[in-house]
Amino acid sequence: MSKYEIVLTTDRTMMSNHHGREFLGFLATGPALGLPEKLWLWLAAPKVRVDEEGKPVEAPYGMRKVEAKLIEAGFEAAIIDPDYIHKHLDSMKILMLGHHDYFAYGPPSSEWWMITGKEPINRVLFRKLMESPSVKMAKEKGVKIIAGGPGAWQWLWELEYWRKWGVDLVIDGEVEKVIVEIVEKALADEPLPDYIYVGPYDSPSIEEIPVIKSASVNGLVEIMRGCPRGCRFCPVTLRPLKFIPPDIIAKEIKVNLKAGIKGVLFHSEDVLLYGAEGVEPNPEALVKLHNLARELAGEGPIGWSHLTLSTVKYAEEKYGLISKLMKDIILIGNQEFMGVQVGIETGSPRLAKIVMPGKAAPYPPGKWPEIVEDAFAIMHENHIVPAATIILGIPGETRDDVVKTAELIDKLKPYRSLIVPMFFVPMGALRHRDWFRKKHVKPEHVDVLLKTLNHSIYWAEEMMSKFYLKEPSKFPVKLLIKLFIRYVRYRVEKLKPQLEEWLKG
Amino acid sequence: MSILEDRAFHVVLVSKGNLDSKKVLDKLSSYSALGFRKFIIHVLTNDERPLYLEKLRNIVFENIAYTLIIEYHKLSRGGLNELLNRLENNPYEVIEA
Repeated sequence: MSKYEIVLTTDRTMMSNHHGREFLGFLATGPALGLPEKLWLWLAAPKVRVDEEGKPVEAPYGMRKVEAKLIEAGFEAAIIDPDYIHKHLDSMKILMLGHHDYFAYGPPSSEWWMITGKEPINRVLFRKLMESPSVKMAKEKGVKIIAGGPGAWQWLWELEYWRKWGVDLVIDGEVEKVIVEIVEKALADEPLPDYIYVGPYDSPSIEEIPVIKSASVNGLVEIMRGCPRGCRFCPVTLRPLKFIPPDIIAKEIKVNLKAGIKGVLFHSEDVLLYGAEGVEPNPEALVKLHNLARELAGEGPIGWSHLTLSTVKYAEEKYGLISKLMKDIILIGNQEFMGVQVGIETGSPRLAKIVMPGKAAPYPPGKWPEIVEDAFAIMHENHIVPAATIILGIPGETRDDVVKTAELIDKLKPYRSLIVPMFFVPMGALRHRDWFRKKHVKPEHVDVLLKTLNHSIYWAEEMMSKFYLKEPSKFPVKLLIKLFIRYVRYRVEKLKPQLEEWLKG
Repeated sequence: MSILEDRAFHVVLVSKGNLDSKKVLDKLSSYSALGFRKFIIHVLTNDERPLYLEKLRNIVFENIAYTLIIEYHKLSRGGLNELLNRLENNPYEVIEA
């Protein structure tokens, strides 16, 4: 007999641990290519273990925060796997949805959609969820539907779906301060607003942010919120900066370990700025944090979500911090490398000065290409494998800017990495600008796309042969990825003559 | 006082046709100069819910600084009066845009 009046859920592309490899989750931003959809989905987002109520062992971290806030407020709330919603129809009064990219409008989903002409699987799966018998029945029973998460803004572009599925409220931003009141109103059947955007002045204090009650995907724990760099395309930099105290981080690590998640994945927009003064790293705070993680996790892997390249360069040059953390704390036991997301965004000093002058700090933005190259060299030497993004179509971009980006990619050839191009999606301070669409693609963009593809395929194959997915249990995943890479290579070879003609023109 | 309404400025937006987003955004700016950082926009419209939000999209996407809460009201004289009575003790302004 279900007891949960509030059910939080999302579709399979989000409710997954991606075989314990977060970067595989990025396959869920694309359509099924070269593989049947079921197989693609298994590769990108296999099902998670659940209990008899359908509660997943691991769930997206942001949803865990909302779940925790509601539980602390005394509600019967739980994250439920999308395949188990039907078990809770009798008790459910509110269905809360979270997603990073509901409708595949985020990068890189929108780009893959544009290039292939096929809907990415995250959009397909979310639509299937909303049109599932369980969700339809819930709505017929009068359940209120509230949608949030980083992808909330996308609902404003899909008003017909909003209406069709009977979503009652869409809320964008950090919700810890307001979500309890919203739920109280919904349960009391009071009128709800249609849309809420929580601005920075209503950002929760550290005390208002709850500790997660159950495990997060792959042991992800937040160590800070916000970022001081102020890049104009970024929504996260709009959030007030706050550092999560070590004792709270420790509590969340313990929640994950207790659930059987072996590793610790530190989440921040720039892990190396934990405890920092502006963009000046705080080595003591970082070493203490990593020692804490190592002590708690034993020999379990430690990972970072994001870094800024200028911090990598500065921290290593001034403090030897990268090599110290990697050699002394992170790369022990079986861990041979660490993957991390970084932003190159552009190889043009001119464009860097306009849209992201703070990203190069403390170095001048005019030095951005050198910073990128130096940081890549440092990471290569220290067994850090960056998955780097490049943004094509930033407002104000010129042909020369794109050429400079292509030149930088050439310089990064010797460094183990993946480089992923993204078409500009209006977000952050630039969210009122126009999208980068197919009609805007020029030969120089295609040149960058091909260079990044060749670079990433080369290094992906190298990593697969040397150290990625080495465990015997991961053999099927590894095989499928190898097949996929071969398929991409084959398709690109076929297209090459046409593309080369076009590039000449 | 509810958290949602605490220190909020209420904008009663009467929308009869195409919406002048700039007018609304300028209003928000002017009230933010008085210290308001949260705006509850009561939209009175004949457009269907939530399709009316298409006209407010620009306002939402131009804003990064303030908390915005958008509420729907069916456009009618009675409805407007009822809303204004409810807002009697709150700071508000009626805008036709």
